[in-house]
Amino acid sequence: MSRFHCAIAIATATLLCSVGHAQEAPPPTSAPKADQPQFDSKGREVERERAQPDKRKVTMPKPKGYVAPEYPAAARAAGVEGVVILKLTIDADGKVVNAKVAEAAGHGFDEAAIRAAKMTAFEPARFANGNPFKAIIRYRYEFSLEAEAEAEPESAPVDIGILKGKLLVQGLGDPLAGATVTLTPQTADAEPRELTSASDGSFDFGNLEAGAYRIRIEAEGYNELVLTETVEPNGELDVTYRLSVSQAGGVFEVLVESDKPPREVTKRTITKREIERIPGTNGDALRSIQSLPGVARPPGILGALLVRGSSPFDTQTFVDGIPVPLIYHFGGLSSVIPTELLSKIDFYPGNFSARYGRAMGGIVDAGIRSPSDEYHGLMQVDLIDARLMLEGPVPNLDGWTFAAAGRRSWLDAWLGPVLEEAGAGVTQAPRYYDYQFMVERKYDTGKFRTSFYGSDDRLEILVGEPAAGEPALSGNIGLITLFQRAQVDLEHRFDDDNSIDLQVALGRDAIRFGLASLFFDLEVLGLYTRTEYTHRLAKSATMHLGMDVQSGSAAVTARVPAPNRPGQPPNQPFSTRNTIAVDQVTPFLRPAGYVELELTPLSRWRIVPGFRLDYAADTEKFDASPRFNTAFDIVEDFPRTTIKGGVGVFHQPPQYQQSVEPLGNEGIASNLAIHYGVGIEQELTQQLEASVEGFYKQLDHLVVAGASQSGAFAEYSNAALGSAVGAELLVKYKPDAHFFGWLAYTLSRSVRQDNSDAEAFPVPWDQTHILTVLGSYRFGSGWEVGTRFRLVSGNLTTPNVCDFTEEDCDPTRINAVFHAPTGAYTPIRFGSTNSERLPVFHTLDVRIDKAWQFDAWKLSAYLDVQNAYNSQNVEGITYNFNFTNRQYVTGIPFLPSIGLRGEF
Amino acid sequence: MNNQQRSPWLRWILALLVTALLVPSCVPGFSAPSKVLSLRILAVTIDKPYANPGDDVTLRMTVTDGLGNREGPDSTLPRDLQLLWIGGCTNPEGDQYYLCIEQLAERLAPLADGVVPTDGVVKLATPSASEDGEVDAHEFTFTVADDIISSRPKPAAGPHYGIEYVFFAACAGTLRPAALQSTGGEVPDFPLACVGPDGEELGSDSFVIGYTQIYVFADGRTNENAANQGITLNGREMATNPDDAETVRACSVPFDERRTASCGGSTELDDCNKYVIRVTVEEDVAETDPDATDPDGKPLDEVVWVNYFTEGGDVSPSLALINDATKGFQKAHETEWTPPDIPGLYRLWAVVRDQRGGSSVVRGWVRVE
Repeated sequence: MSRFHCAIAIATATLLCSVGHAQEAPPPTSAPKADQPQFDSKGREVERERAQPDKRKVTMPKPKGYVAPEYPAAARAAGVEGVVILKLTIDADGKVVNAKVAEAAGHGFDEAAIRAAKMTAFEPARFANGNPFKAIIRYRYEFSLEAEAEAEPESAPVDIGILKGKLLVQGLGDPLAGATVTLTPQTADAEPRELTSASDGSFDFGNLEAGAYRIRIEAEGYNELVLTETVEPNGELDVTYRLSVSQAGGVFEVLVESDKPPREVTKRTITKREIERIPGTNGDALRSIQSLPGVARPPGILGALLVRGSSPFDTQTFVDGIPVPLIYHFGGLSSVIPTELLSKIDFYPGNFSARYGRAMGGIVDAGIRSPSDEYHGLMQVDLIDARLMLEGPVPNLDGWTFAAAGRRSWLDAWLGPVLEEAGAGVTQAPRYYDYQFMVERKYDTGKFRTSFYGSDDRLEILVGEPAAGEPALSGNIGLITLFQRAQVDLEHRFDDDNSIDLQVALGRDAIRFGLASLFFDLEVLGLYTRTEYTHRLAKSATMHLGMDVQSGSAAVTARVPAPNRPGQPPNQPFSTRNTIAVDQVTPFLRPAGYVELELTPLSRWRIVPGFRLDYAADTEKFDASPRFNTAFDIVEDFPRTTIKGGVGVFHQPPQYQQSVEPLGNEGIASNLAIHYGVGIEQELTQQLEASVEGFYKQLDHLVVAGASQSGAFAEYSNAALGSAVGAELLVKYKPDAHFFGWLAYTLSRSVRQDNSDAEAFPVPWDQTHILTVLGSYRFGSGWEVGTRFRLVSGNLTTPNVCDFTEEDCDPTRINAVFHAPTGAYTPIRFGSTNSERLPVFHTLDVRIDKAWQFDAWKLSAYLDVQNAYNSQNVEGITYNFNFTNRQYVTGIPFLPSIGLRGEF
Repeated sequence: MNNQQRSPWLRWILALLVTALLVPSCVPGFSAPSKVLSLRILAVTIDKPYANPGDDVTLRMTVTDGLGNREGPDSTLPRDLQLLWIGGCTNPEGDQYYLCIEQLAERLAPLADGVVPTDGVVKLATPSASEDGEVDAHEFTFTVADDIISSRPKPAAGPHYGIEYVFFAACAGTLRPAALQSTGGEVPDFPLACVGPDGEELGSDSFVIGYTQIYVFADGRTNENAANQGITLNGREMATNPDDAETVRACSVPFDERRTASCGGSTELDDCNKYVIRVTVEEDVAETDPDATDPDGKPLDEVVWVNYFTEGGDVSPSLALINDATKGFQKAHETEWTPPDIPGLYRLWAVVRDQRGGSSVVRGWVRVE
């Protein structure tokens, strides 16, 4: 035997073919926690338990014997050593059918290694059921002169440490195959080792010296991940890393999780790549929610969230669990938190956890991500706004990271002159900005973050001439909506069974509306606290106890049109009515407590009962809200089949202007909704999944305004009721290297009654059919093209004039009566409430992206075209002054937008 | 930066942007309410907007037919009109006018047999129109019921008052009662129809229905009509008869082109002569509103405004504020008139209104060449 030692480190049997069964791996043991939004933020154990069986799915090829390579004579004579890494293709019979050099060593080592490898017989890779399959592995030969031992496998150096793990696509949990994993010992003269992740995302470094290693993971289309791990002597370090998709330059992943009871019984995910590429949204994460099933199309560019037949006021919005008054800037142009800073968006269209209350529609909770521990910055400019962001470690403060971001619209800079040139009476455009600052410190047992963020929207319109029918309406019309939050977040894990989450925020909200001499100014100073204690009672039972308190004061100063008085004919122009002044400060207190259990009597069965108790000081009433969700995996392994269901009580207190005098009145209680939901999820292929859900909302005690008998604005009562019923279908192709897309369809009906004796009528946003089909294809070289098509039933309206295109329309009908004291016409409506459906809405949006990667930075550009074929979609009806004619108001025309983004 | 200061290249870019943003969905708007293109009731003035029980109250209708003359051999003559007045609806529940409609249907039923009630509550007239087609100042007088206030309970808050609704209609044909039909809302269809010589129902260009109300307060408060002293064209008093009308130049832009001007249509409109039309009112035209105070408790005056109308050309704006409740008298309450493209004699009207039901009307003539 030769003097050399040829050690085979079968460190990596890397399955590059795509036949492995992708399953979720256990949660990471050392991955950056901030970038793991697909895991429950509480670190609840169920996912781990559920993920364990996945490790047994595939066995990798193993050599049946050892064929020693010949040490090249010249190299031996020259005293040269080397390491060769080969890429071997091993067929289902275990035969090496191809061998290529992945990492060359030269000096004849490569050829020697190939010859030896081709003579080696392997036990083939096998599925869990034992069926063999063709696989590609990386195989390593080390040529060493110093070793004296025989070149037998048994005499290879003993593994003194193992670093193995799994790579997943962040946000999806899909295995990331084909990524290059480079392990570099933190010693001066050590050589790096490299392998490629298998089709199930796994990798395995054996034969490691104890010590610290720098690990770098690279994959095309994903952000590089670099971090340090320590291998203990004779230890086995098992890790899971998640890589975020990077083509648009985003470093982080944003999840939009729909219909997600605790522990993700049901999970629909939109990854950052999807969000950034969905046409028509300008890459805005929160706007992408409007492409999900169960979400109706808001009129025009209005950013309202119309969830499962609920009104826009019934869906609450949060940032990291703290309520914020708005989630979109003016008209839904963009969301108040930029996509780059979001870690996740939890979207619950119904049957949400007891953690959330004071809402009977849906919940949107946007999570701000942790800053990166490496310096990163970006600048983006498009036709709407410009933004900057910088993040990284805080200098001289070990372990602290920071992020600072800001955005300002510049629509006002170019749209104003355009409107002026067009001769429009309105010459001002909206302006908004938002900002986010935070510092964060992570600990082994949790993290601490303090942040300050806010949003400011301003619109000032100069009306040169009085509006039609409004003689006193000229001058400035101003609207300001702003909010600020100074927030502290603490996540702390006491031990494996106990943890606590705490959020405290001081907030300021302001709404200022001015209309000539009229104004309404609301300023709310609030203290918002949310605490949740989690305790694992047993392996299959976890309890969450929480408090959710909102308190503060609301100051209202206003001069608004007074209720009609005797002696004043009704139908007065709005601007000529007498005014009433309001100046008052009202304290508010709305505390709540809740308890929720997560029970898993079987690994495939989850039960989540919860109970929430709310109190509202303004109404002096308690609201008890029991809730129950469950999910059962009929088929636990791939292709997974899950049925799920839930029922719960949801209360929404009246708005302050309804419950606080002088604008409101006492004696009213919270709105009530009972949510029923049932559904099934089915995995079809590794990339394709489908879900069908049905929902029913029973609405009762709804606050409704009636005519006042006491001279007040209105008399509010809980007389109204209603319901919403529907079904949702989602067929989704999860992102792969080239494509993503989905089809979402919603069938629904939502009606209301002013009281139990009144006739039911559909709500204006009742859209019977909502179909969204979208997809985006990555062509390579930085090019990606996407399209979105929407086909939606028209909104409903109450007509005053019949549709002249209808056969039964009588053109001679008298549609209005002349009111002599004011000179205005009072319409006699043509049909019952919301009895006319506007024409079907359909539109095609197209998006084209191109990215250029440079050494130190990346440049991206996009063209986002809304309404590519200029569909004349009808958003409403206008009438002439005496209601003898009508015209459709159409929505967004063909609207292209371009943007540029650079980042390092 | 204004238009004049903006450089040509910037104007060109802006014009492109305007075209891109507006043209794809631009449709001509409606005709302005100030354009009299059909049968219109411009005003119904009340001699006592706030009356007392037992008062005789006179209402005066200003009505004009902008649709055109008769068809056939009498095409030089204006269409004949029927005018109808119906009072007698006192204190409907919630002061809602539409709760009078059922009662109205009963009162109108005899019209089906050609019988006009003689109870003083209903008045049907077929006035002969003057050659210019205007039936000016057609009147109706009724007596306020003695128990109009006492018949309703005193409200918990605010003054004790009563209210009487008076309905009216103008028809360029023959009025007849119609079946009461539900529309799906609170307000039923009006139980009245207007038919032409061939028996076909006429539409809203030939048939107008309206209503007004008279308030009666227990404290005897009054409200004077917001008076005017005339109407001027470029500062000169307008003629009250056609023979004395001032002559102005026509604007050659036709009606249809003016409607599309905002869609990138004709820009010749900018080159037409424009005239300042202004109703003359005293600075103290507004009375103090006894129930209105500002946040400091200071009494406020009525809001007063003016609606302008024209049967030829365009006025912009259609209405203007004369007295603001807090800012007081507004000197700039004029409008701008662009003459029509067709020469002839034309009328302009100004209707001055206060927010408590008071009003006054003035008319002027102008000749376009």
